[in-house]
Amino acid sequence: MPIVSAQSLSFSYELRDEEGNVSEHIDALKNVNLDILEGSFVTVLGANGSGKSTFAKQLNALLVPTGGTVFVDGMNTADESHLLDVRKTAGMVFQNPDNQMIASNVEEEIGFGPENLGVPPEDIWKRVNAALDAVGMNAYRKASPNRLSGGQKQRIAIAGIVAMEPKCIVLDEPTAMLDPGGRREVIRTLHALNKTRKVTIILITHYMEEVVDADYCFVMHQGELVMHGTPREIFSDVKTMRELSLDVPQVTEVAYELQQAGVPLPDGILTGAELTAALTAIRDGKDPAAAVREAGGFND
Amino acid sequence: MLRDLTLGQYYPEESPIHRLDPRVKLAGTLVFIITLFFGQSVWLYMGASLYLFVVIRLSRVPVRYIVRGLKTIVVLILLSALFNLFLTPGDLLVKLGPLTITTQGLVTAVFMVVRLIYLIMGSSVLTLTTTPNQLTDGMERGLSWLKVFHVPVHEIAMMMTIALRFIPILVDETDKIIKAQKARGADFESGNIMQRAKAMIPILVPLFISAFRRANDLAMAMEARCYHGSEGRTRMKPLIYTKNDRLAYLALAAYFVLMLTIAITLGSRVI
Amino acid sequence: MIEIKDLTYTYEQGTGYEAHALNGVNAVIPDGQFIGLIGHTGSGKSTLIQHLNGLMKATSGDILVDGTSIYSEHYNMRKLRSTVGLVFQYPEHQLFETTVLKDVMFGPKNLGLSDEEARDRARKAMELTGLSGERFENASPFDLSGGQKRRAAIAGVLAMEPKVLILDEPTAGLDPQGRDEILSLIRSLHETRKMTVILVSHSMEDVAEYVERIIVIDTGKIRFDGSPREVFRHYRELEALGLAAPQVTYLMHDLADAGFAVDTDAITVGEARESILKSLPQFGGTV
Repeated sequence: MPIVSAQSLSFSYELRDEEGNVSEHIDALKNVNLDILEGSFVTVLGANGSGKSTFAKQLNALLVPTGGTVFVDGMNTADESHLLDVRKTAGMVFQNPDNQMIASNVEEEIGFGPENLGVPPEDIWKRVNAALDAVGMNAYRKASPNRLSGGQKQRIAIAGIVAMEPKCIVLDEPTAMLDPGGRREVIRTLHALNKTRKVTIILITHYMEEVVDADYCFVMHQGELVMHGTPREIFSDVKTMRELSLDVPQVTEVAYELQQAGVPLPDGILTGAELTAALTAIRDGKDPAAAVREAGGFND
Repeated sequence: MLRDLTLGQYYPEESPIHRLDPRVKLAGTLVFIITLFFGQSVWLYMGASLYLFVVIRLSRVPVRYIVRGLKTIVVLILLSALFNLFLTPGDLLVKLGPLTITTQGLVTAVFMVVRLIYLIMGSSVLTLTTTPNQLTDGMERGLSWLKVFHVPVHEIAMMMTIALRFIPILVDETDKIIKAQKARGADFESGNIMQRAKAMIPILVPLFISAFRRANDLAMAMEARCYHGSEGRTRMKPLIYTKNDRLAYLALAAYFVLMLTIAITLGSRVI
Repeated sequence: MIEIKDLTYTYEQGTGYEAHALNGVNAVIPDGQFIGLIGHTGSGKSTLIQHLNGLMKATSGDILVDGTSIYSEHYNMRKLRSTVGLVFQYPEHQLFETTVLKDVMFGPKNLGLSDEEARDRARKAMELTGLSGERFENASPFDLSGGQKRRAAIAGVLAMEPKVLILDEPTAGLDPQGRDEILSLIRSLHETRKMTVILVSHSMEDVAEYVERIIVIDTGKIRFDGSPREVFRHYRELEALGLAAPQVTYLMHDLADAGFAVDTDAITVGEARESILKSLPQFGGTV
């Protein structure tokens, strides 16, 4: 059973002018159908206004569909009796690290979720300790969130969710406000959680370098799901990605430009090692696709 | 200047005072403040000084941290001292042109200054040794009997927690907005009061918008973490009285009785 | 021209907790140059740019703008702020007026210009940032999209008609399209209006693509200062500072190691393409 399943999911809302009349009807999500497998690392790519944040809020029942259904671990998110269970199953991390912390101390911040769930005190401590270890922030347990770097703050926000022991974590552009070092820190933490604790990760982003190592990728555009596949499949289509005004890795872009100039390169090159192997094969009169496979690419 | 605000800033340390139950510390602060108003007597203030001295020593918070909180109210202290000094009727002591100083005025002014300083120091000790969360926990638990009168104790406590968390963030934000508007040529230093008040608009509007945006984000984040009021909520640090807390209550009671005795015995005498 | 001489800024002077945010910075910024300023968070780059328009005052050292020290007596700070325009990070957070036009007029009016002159300048600045027309002039700045808000805020600084424009991570939080729009706006300001531009950025790819000189700052000191090609040659040292080179740099080094006669100084996709094609015998190159 998939951990998340969206079936004909639509979401629309109305903008009202000062007199309270409907001035505009906005379709933020249009007939989205997708399944996310438990234990996978999935990314959702899309430009601003593509509906990706609206989609994220559907998974945590912060918003409920105006058409179609969303199931989280088999529970219909529109069913109010499951509200807390849905939120406990699919935890959510937001973009601005400052605006999602309540407590003035790291440890108490992480304990906030379990407290709301009515977990007994001694179990809360166990969970807080485990969550601090999971994000590698044990040394900062007594610190004030204001003294942490952006990347560290986001790791604490993630720990706050981990302490609720969710099956799935949804992250809505968690790295948009971080510097490259902070971004790497957060992504590394997410991969570790996915590998060691088998937590399903759903990462909403517009940084393509965060997509490369994911298992699967969905691309949204103007409220619709327009592409899906492995990152290699997605980045093979450089032309469509450009049309959607999204980036591809620079190496993929170089490979694409070389292809356009007539160099017989295979589609879907993602790393420098793969491109080097392919070009060496071409120079030596060998099969470039085979060389890429040997260099470790195309195996996914 | 806002950075010097000691109130609400926690000083991490493992002292006996830090480890006390916040309810004890709240009661202690309250008792201390009440005793400051027992009267104007040197003996009473010696008792209060002893209390402050012992508590500060036990807390191991450097005195300069406690004194720093006074900087923000220096003007207030001076003003109230001057008012009392010049406006209290009584036996003439000195005459400076149209201004007169009386013996009673001098005494009142001195006690007023000391009282204000002690008031700030006493409450600073509370906030320096208690994390904001413990403090609000203590208030929530210590005042839970108010629920009978439909006072939303939990909600008030939660609002305080959030306010304390966001004060430093908004202070930084104000600083940033001021700089950004200065970079656009804004002038906050010259002009009369009206002009200066008008010059605040480019700071206040962005600040309010930012505060609303943050409040909105935070509400959503709290909801996503299953916050649904106090019902069915547990605490990771439940408040349980220990032996030290009971001892502290005893000491507090002794202090109170002592001060009360002094006050009754001396009546209105200064010494 | 801006000359930075031995600029030092120390936090909490005289308290025992001294920390140098800037430690003896020296640089000359000639008119019309497009400079990229890079360094990780806390390296001192934000402190440096705030000194350049007088928002912070150095502990020691000097800054000369067109030959005059900004620390000399009776120096006109307000004029400095109109000469050296500074766009902060997330500048849309300073918008406050009821209409975009009024907001953009705020800067010029602070310079003492009449309503009419201020309006003219504001309209020009809005045109430059692609926000011209009634539709934008009378719109509330809070009804604009994220990218538009940012351009409105940049227009607010441009309306002061600065000679030097400093932007602190102007593309932070924008999507790829919004980023490209802002960067090409900045490039056209540099090319058509001959503005001196200092761009603070975390993206090595963007810096490689746009600027003509890179200054790398770390722990309050300038570590590298030169053309992008020169600076990215030190990609190993940059990594040690928590920075990196563009992806292309790594690719070119991989290819050179594999025996290709490629230019390891290539730093953009276009340069990489040319250099790789030249190195392939089938495409007229030599090995």
